Amino acid sequence: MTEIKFEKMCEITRELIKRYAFVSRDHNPIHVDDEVAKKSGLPGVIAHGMLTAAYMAKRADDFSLSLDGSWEVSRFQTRFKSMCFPGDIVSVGGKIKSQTEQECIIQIKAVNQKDAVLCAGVVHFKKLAD
Amino acid sequence: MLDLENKVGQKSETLEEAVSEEDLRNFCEAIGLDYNGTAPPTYITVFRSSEFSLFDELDIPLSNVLHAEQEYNYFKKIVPGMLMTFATGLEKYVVKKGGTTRLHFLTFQTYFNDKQKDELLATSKTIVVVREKIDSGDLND
Repeated sequence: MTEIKFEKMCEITRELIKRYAFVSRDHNPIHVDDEVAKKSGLPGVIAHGMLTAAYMAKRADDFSLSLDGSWEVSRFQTRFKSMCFPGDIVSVGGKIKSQTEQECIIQIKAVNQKDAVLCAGVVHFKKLAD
Repeated sequence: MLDLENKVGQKSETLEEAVSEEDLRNFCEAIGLDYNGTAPPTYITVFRSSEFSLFDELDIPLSNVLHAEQEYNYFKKIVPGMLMTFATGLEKYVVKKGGTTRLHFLTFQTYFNDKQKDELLATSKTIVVVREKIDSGDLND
């Protein structure tokens, strides 16, 4: 299987989480308020799973540019495996699972600086007509 | 105690919203994406309001909700100006006990339609976990 090189996508900061809460309209306080996060049994605020997933999608999109022709995402699936905290550095990579003329399926995962898997999933691309 | 067994099948109201170019640009900018006139794959998360309203109806406290899994299937491109309608239903419910915590796994399915063309745009499957502390009196149930 062809590897999709891991690339550093971002460092998670409180500002980034706040900004993502605003643009994604996910105002669950466990992402922005340490007190609420602690009361909910977490060590402190955590990043939105969908923020990490957004970087997975970004890396998948970059990868699709390396394929011949034009492709678009037809399916995106991910499981959130471990929590992502401010200070975490997120890298995303994976491998091609299968590829035909019309469809390409990749396995992709986001890891932090300790190599803990934050989320892992699959992205399906379909080829657009020329 | 949270018990959603008889809530499977419950649906939110159908909501309606136009895809805003400004919101889309802001989303792309926040994650360092060059805006190209269409929505990136995870942009549809912005339209979770039907799911959040169902949390409210089911008395699920948002701060106890963790996102466990997300899946999107796309049938059409989502572009600015498009008028979307969307509704969420509770599709599956499983409870697991671990120590002094009860874990409620909820699977929500959302359908997104293009209102003007009356076409299915995308579907979303969201699995969340709601953590609930078990009171000592409840431990033996």
